[in-house]
Amino acid sequence: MAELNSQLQPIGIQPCLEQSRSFLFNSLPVEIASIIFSYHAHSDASWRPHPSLTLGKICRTWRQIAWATSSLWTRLIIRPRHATSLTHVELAEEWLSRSGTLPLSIEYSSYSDESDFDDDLEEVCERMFEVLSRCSNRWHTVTLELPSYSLEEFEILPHPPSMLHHLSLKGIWEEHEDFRQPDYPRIPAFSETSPKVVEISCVNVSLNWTSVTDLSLDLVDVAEVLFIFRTASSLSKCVLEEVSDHLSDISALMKHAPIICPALKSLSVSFGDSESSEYFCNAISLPALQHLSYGSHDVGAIELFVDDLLFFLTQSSCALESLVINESEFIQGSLIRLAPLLHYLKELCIEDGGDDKGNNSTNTFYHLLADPSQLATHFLPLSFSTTRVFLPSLEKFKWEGRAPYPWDTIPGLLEPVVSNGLAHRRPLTSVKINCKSNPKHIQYIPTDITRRLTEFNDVKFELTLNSSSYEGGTDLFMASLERSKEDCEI
Amino acid sequence: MVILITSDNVKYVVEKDVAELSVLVKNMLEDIGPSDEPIPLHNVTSTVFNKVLEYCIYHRNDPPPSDDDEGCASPLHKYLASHICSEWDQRFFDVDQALLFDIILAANYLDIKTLLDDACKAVAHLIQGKSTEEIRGIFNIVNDFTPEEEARVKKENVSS
Repeated sequence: MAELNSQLQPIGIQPCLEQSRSFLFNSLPVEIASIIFSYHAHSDASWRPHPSLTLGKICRTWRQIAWATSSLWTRLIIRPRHATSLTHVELAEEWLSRSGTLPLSIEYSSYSDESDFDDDLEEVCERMFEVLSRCSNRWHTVTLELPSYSLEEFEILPHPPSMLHHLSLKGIWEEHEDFRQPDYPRIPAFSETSPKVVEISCVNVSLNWTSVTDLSLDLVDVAEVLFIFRTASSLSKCVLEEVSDHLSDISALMKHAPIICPALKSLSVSFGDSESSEYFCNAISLPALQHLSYGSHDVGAIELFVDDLLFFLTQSSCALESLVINESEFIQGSLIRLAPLLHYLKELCIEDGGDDKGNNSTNTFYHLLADPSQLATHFLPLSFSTTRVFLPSLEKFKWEGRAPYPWDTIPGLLEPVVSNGLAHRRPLTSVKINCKSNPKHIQYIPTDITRRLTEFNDVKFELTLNSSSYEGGTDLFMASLERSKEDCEI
Repeated sequence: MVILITSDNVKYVVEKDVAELSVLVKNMLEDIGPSDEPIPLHNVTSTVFNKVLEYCIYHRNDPPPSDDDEGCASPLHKYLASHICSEWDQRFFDVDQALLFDIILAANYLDIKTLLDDACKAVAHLIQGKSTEEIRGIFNIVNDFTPEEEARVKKENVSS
């Protein structure tokens, strides 16, 4: 026990902890002060002045500890106001030298509305990138938001960034049209990199795409999308914003159609023109796709064709589980044709839904879900059978639109009518319907429907008028109940 | 049960799983084997140990910290880790500075990593968003920079 007692003697720790009530921070062991500093520095790195620099302003001891704590210097953020002077290049160099051999997170943005595109900025960008590149072997997360010409000028990295996990590149253009050119060249600087998460906006980049799992492309040529999808074999999640036809030569790529992206499970795509949606849908096959959001970048600006989407889903032969779609972008009623391909769908979100021309048609997608026998024969999908229930796996239904919702179809949404008399209940647990209309012209839910809905007490209904992310809107269900009560009293 | 004796000779009978949150105590128990002999904790007074024990009892069923908690590969991870989320923890560390530092030293001595980390976060929280002067005031620190060093500090911060 005596030996154990001797082991218990503290090493390098203050002998009696309670005697010095006026304990000073500077008496803490250096390694503990480092831990505290490290937590402080990472608590809010966007704070100005940067927390690491604040630590170096307190006293010499704090400065020495802070300067020697590598983890305080692993995140370098260079904002537009820093990027116009060579002094900042020197400070960035010092900053990085303090980070030792640790992985780095770098955020470099050199442009704001106030700054001009000029030669000085270009020189600073070049010098700064040179400094950052010197430790490219330690890059873990890199975000560059720079004038496109600067990005294009960067040399191939001197050290392969083998640690790079997350790459975000945003090219700044005076005119976006300058980028919308056929076969726009790719930036070569990153051709040796294999990041997992990639976000790219308004530039084309050479990259080893095989390791990318999460991809986000903004303002992108459809030809570039096809090119990337050919090699992005690990891609599992993808967001494509404003895919457009830049009139690049895609004939060579189309020869490889269908281009199969085997691991992609989640895709959100918006198109800038109809041609790009056609090329995309004809060329791509995503057999593992489970979650799809499909629409145009600027709602109402272009028309999308359900035939393209049908071709894409058929070619992909995927078991789609969730779909977000904007009904107004398609020809009225054409969603009906999608229904046979949505056998495994669990979540359906329809934006801008319904017929805002006020037609009281019974040939809608909603009538198909509720009671297909109401539809005129020529509206029914080709594979229609009277005993078939469309979307039998649906668990969540969300609808938002300016048009009145066909309330009569709601009971059938939950329990569709099947001609063979066998009852089927969709496994719906949530029904959200938000009507965006003039509060003076509310279309209340008919009394018989509200009564029917109360039978489904295992379903969460959120039936609202003019609900938004800021306000809950009017509870249309309650308003309808009150209205019917008033009518009875009259 | 394990018997622990603090530096002011206060005896504690502690459940083994709670005591073994301290790597120091765990190693000692392994070294001495089955025994009723009390384990002395030379550098921890009963006042501080009461707090340590309170923490260990509350967190006895927490999953052990993973290896991912080490290093600084992900700044986001660090950011998230730097926040004390539990209300209980926030109340626990709402003590005077001297006791907070004593808890840190005790956690370091007893080798209880989660307590050390959480207590360090609590100190980091004290200086979050504070100005240089405020931080000096909180910890009673004197500015000992030479005029040249002061000029250098200013240059860095004007540029930030």
